[in-house]
Amino acid sequence: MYWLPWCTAAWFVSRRAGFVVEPGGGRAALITAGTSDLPVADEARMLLEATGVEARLVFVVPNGIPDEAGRFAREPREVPGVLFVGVHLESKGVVVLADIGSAILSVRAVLNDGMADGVTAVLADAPLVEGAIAAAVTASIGGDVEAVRAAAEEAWNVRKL
Amino acid sequence: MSESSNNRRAVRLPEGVDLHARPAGALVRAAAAFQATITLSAGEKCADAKSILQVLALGATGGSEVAVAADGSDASEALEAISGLLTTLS
Repeated sequence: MYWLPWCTAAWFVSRRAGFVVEPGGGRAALITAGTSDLPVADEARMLLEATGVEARLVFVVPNGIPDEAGRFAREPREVPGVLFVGVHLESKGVVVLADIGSAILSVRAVLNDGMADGVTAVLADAPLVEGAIAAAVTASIGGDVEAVRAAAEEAWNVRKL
Repeated sequence: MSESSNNRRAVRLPEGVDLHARPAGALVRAAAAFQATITLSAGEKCADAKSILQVLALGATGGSEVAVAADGSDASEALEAISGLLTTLS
């Protein structure tokens, strides 16, 4: 395993006593590549579960975007320096969110390699965690690829405070 | 957007129940079932009830007042459902 020297991110969970995650019917897959993005993807996953979206982390390799049956690469493989989170829309497609910089180039390379037949994949221009939350919740209520991408990109315009 | 008093209603969140991730997720899913545009207002902020980020950013706290407005063919049903959901959040 290759670790970039600045990849020291970590996360912890703090929950009030008695907190129970209650699935609300939505489902999403957060697709991660590399090592540095796992805490980011985990943060998105935990927040998604709190909103009632059943989320799971999926490692992806180049050419590992899921096919229309939802099958993913079986073996996790490290792709150092790549940072992206995707939202898998059941059989409808994949919306990918990437960190700024070389991750964009890496994701584009993956997307340019082509998807399995019938799978639409798009790269959303959005902040990672907020975009992933918006995208996954929109996907869980039946949004199509364009609706999910629009939801992710809306994250630029929603002030937190 | 002009709205009559018929499709606007103020409700109060239950004490101790903030509009955080879990209730916000439930709200967005409920709102998505309607064709109507549904807007929530809390303090000086307003949110599209179908946008999880906007609903979370409302920062509405337990016991505070939230105004619900709906506009569209099923506005009255949407208003009823979303108002009811907000007052029974747990």
